Amino acid sequence: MQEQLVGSVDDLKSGNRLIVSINGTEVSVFQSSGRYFAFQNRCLHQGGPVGEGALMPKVTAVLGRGREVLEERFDDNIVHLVCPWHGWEYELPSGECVADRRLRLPSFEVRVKEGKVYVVS
Amino acid sequence: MRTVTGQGEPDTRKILANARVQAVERGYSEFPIVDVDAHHYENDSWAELTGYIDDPIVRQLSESSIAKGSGRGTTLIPSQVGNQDVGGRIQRYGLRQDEKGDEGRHRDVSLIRRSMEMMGIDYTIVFPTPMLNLGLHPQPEVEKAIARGYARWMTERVLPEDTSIKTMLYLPFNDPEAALKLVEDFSSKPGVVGFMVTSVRYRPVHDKAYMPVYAALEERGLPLAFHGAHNWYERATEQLNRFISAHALGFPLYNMIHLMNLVINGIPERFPKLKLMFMEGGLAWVPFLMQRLDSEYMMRTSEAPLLTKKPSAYMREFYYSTQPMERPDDLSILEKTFEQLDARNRLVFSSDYPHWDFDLPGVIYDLPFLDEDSKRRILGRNAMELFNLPEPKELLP
Repeated sequence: MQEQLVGSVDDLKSGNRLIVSINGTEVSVFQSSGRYFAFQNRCLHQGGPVGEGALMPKVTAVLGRGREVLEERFDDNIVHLVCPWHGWEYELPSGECVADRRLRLPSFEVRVKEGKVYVVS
Repeated sequence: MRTVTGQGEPDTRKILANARVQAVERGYSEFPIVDVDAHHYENDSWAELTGYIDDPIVRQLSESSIAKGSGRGTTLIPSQVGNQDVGGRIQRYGLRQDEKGDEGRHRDVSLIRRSMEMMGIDYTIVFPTPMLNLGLHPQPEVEKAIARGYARWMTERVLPEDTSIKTMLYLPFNDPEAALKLVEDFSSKPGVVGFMVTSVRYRPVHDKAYMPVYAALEERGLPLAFHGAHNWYERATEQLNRFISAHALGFPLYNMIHLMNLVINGIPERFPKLKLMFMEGGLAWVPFLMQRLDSEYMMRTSEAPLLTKKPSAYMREFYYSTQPMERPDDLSILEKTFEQLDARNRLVFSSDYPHWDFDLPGVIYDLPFLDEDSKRRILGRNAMELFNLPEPKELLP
């Protein structure tokens, strides 16, 4: 297990992404709601730069007592990383593909120490 | 290391950087790749295109339809409701409209060449985008004038800049005589490798008025493609409440209707050398329709008196473009689909770039059930034979 310094917490403000190479794999490092994430930057679909995509809250449907759809809402507690090429969605922090839970985007542990961001390889 | 900030100039070369990596990894420089269906946005150059419209009334209408000062966009072409970029989730999709071209090169040629170079594509056959809805225009004279203006603009202004970019010109099919005239006038123009009918339209393709068009195309050996699209306002699909539904069904729906009319009315018997192609409906609908038509033909043979073989046998002689190719969990389903439509000889790769559901050549190259020769045929050789394309001077990447 090795820690690789990739930048500082300031580098990851305002939704910025750090694209780094970890053992030959292109990895995207970013933060969302104060948590830090590192994912392989190749979508499982057609290889798009998924780690550079939008962070979107999950869309949920609210059913009534008769099982009719009352409304749809954003669930701000569940965030999806969305591939900018075709829209495949992966849930944070697991990296599970939302449409097919058997698929998981490879992830890396991120450690933050004294304002510095490290990816564990 | 690089930092992505969301700022900076939109650039296809950045957007498709991962495609370039794939092209190098898979060795696409070893064989030619032809993309038979990519797009540009002719509305981005609408002021320029308008200058090529001959009809003075429609040209004036077109001029007045452009947002003042922009030179872009037009209200002259019917539009579709819908959110192609899934509410902004497909971020790359909207970037294109602000991308700048190279100095001294037409912007469309610049953008098309960039995507070709990133994907490793040696020839691209380019189609318009908003004009996919032009068949819905209530005035046939407007469709005719725009189709001719587009044909002139493409062959006089855009295509001469790069011989690796080809087109199958839009036919104004609501006016069969105008469609025939367009075939006659533009068949021999450099860069024109065939003609295209947008599938969302409502005049049956077996109408006798089209026979001269089919004869002219057959005589010239030029393919006719039916390019799929959706129409959410279609009576049957109005009840679908999501874009996913209207899009998933719409694209194959119109192609199925046209194909069925062509086959059942014996067009392939009447024009045996006419090369027919069906684009952008995916592939899963093909074996479905083969089975449906064959089963009913066995019971209702008298309703299709021109046929000398089962409908599926005609369908196996047509060409199909790949995108948006379905990816079933069980790949044996896709393998069987390939067998059904004689993919090794009749399937041709298409990216549909830059549209939201584009495919890379890897969708074919990475299929485990294809041998190397079949991959290369589907990715390039089949199209080179169909369109009579010369060997590329230099293979990309």
